[in-house]
Amino acid sequence: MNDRIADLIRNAKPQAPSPDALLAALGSRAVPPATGSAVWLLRAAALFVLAAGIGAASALLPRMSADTPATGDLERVRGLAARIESLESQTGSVSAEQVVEQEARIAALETRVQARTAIEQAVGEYFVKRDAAERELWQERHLEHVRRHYAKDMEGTLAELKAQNLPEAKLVRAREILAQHGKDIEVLIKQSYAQGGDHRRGHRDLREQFASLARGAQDSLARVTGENNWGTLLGESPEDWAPTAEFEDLSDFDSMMNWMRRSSRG
Amino acid sequence: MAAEPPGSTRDDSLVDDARGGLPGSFETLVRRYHAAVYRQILVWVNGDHAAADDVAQEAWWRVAKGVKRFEGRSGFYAWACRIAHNEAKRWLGRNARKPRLVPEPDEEHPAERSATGEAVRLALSKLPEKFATPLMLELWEDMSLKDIAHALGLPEGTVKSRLFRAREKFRAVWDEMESEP
Repeated sequence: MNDRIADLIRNAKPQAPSPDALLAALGSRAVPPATGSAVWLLRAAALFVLAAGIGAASALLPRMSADTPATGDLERVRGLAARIESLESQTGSVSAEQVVEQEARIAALETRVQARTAIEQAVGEYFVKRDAAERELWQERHLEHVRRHYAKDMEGTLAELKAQNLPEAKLVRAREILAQHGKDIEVLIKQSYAQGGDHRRGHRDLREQFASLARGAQDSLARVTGENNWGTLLGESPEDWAPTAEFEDLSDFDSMMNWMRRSSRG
Repeated sequence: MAAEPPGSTRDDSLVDDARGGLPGSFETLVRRYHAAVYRQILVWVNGDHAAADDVAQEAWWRVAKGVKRFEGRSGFYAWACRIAHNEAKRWLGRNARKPRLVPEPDEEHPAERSATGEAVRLALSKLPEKFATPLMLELWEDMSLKDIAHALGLPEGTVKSRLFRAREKFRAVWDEMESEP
């Protein structure tokens, strides 16, 4: 680096205050800031509804378990019924009422088992749908962020090339390459989200795929512009295309952390 | 500043301790990175120390709240810096319509008294975050390539490349500013 520029920047180093005052201030904020804004009130209301829902669901599940006999009990009753039939056929000493009573009990147990299965299925489907909707929302917000930032970067790069008096035909070709790179990034991000449910596991190949895309685009640009050193201008890692984390609401934080997790080597 | 002073506890261990609520661990992280984060915030908020204090406090508060969900795969410093940058952008958004105040010469901040220093920080603020951050870490915090890579959670080759691009971009911005009447 030009020593003059380096010295210029070094000499502009500002002072930073001691962290003591900051730590004292953080210590005094032991609870999240109380605020009367509508956003905070909505968040509080949403958390309350969510907590109530979870409470109701968790209260329901143990009761279902207590009221509903286990599968072993059902098998035992069925065994008894079979034994009754067997004894009846052998001795004729078991009454018809006893058989009817046992059959009614079996039917009631089977109804309960079916009901429980239906509830478990409904709960399972609900969570699958909720996760899918969440992933879709994260993907949509992520792609929106990438499109916005990529368009800005692309126009900046093209402006730099134009300033270097690159012929118009080459500028058009450079724009095509950059635009295609942007589309390829979107496809990669969509594929990553489509791969599914367990975003706690990292996506091993994603980093290599981003790097490969960047290399391809950089090689194409080098052929068109004659400039080889494109560096990391095109963003070769998943972090370069991470969703925003503006913290307008907590889902911003979630979407950023979700991407950092899924795009890490796992 | 060195991201990993010899013999010190590593960032990831401290983050683990902080997530587990171990007293003192988060404070150590704040003490380790506050100056570097603060200086970057100061650039982003146009040299306004009062604003930098507010933004730094809010940013560290958000880091403290989020640390339990941070898995340490992107580099703690990079993550904290990103939160600070977002907080600075929020501050700029809120204060976009207010006229920019020219800071009075301040004995406590002699570097800020220099018009050249202010112009340099203005030029840095015009660089994209991913280029400005490694440049400031290299020249203001005296961090080695290896330390910057660790702090940002990036491969050394990527940092080297970004530093190269950052210098080019800074030179272009600076030349443009110098040529302005």
